[in-house]
Amino acid sequence: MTESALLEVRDLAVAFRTGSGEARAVDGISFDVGAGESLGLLGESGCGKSTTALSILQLLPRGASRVEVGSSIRLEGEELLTSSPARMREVRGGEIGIVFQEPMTSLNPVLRAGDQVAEAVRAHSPLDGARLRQRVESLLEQVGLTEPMEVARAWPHQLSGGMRQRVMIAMALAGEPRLLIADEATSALDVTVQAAILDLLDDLRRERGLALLVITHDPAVARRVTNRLVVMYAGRIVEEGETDAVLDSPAHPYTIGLMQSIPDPERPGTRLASIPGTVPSLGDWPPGCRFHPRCARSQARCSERYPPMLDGHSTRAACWLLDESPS
Amino acid sequence: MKAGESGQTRSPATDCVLRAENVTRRYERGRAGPIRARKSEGFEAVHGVDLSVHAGETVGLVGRSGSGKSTLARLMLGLEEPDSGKATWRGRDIAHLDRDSTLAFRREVQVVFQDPYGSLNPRHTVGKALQEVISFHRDAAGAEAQRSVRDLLSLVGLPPESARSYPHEFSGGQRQRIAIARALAVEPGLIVADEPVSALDVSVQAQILNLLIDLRERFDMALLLIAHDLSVVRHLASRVAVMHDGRIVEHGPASDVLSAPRHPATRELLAFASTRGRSFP
Repeated sequence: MTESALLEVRDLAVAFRTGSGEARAVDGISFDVGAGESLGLLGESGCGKSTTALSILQLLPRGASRVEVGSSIRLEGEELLTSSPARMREVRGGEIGIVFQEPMTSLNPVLRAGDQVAEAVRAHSPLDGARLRQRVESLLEQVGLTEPMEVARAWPHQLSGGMRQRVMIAMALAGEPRLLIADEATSALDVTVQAAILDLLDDLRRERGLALLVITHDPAVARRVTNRLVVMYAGRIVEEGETDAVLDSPAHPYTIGLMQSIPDPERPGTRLASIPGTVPSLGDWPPGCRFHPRCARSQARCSERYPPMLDGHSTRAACWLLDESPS
Repeated sequence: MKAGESGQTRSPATDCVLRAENVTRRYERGRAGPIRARKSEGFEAVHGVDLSVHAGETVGLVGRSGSGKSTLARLMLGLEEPDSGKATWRGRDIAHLDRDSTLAFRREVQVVFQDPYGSLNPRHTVGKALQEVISFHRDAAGAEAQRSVRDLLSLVGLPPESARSYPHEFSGGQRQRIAIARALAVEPGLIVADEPVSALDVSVQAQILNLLIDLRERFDMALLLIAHDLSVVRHLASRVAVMHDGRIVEHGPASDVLSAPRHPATRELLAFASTRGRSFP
């Protein structure tokens, strides 16, 4: 959408080794994240959204997975998939920061919070002594921790979930990244704490032009913090557009079903229009449109050919229903 | 059936299944709160709380994490004893039930937790897990028990072959169906569900909520639904109690509490409830 996006993902395909050969967890997806933009990747367990995030930073387990030939991930024009391991170490925590869901397992339980932030700082700049301490405190302050010195001295178990996640964000900011990937970063938190963390991410984006790639299964999270939204299903992108357009007037039957699954406050106690069946498992993806066995409006061609991205009313969706031409 | 009713005069009390009467639960070690555990003073997880669940009704118990809602549920289930006050089942103090009454209590009141994986034995097939409950509480064995297992699985929307599989072979939503099937195995009058859908994907949440709605109607079952997501509670509960710092700060018909919240804690929860991926108006 921008002339030169900060991050360009093109035809990304990632295969995992399974019991019976290889299966593509991500199967040819393309998207951009513009500088200072907040893009959401929305999808349910197993749709490939976290695999996408991890492949951007090349954090996928080697041997068990493989990014396929023809995939491209460019950061300001630089191809990351062919970068050297040394360059990738610079990129991780440098240009691109990442925050995961579980701050308790991502933080080292036997190191004080401040020491862990200091470690992240020193990975990217040779600060020492008082200047290092100042930098750590400033980072903790930037993520809304009002008593940075006390937090720096605390052990991870002494901090609440929200505070731990703020420490993780401070570590991710240590290398002054251009892009922050938040992989279900608030899913384990209480709704109110979740909102505060999302607002912090939004402030960071507004104030310093930090681009966000927000990976989530929760439409409410996408609504709160993203401008543009990509919906994934079974390794493919099924819909994309402005966040409000995708959530309010979705065109793809999967996105429509997902939104109808959320209880409507106007109609308490009624059965929800849930999507029948279950998400197909990896390697078991149906031919044609992968959603067609669960789709009430599927036609003959849906099981034959995968639909291209087509223009809908206010979004773009991979659905033959949007195809005006005779099949 | 309603033996042991203790001097309650109001008629709704006669069908009160489970009740907390002025219960307080104190933890001595203090919580590992922000910055530093408060070691010197004790910490009251639940303070002087009254709550009752009547036959056939769905009560929603909401609050942030740490507000005491799960502790209250554990007290009402008899999994913990209150330091003061009492939890009663059909008017009798749960802490002083004899063996037969304890069995009857455990039969009538069942529980479904957030993480069904943690509450299913990984080495037992689903069929065995269900059969164990059936033979213990219903005294059924052999072909009859196996038929019950199949019936239960179909009741919660799982194929009968599931009986031969182990818990790890199922998805999160399917495991929650198994946990619900196990609770239903004893034909309970009340299910206490502690965050039954919060670990599930949005579309799976809807399937489990629909299942609860169907089962509730079919068996005229009461439900104590504990959740931090008000949109889930609003969808199922007729009455809502809001917990904050160990106390119930607001309590009433769901439509009143959620449309005209009076306590700041309720308003805060409402402000972030996910409805249609949108904050409440």
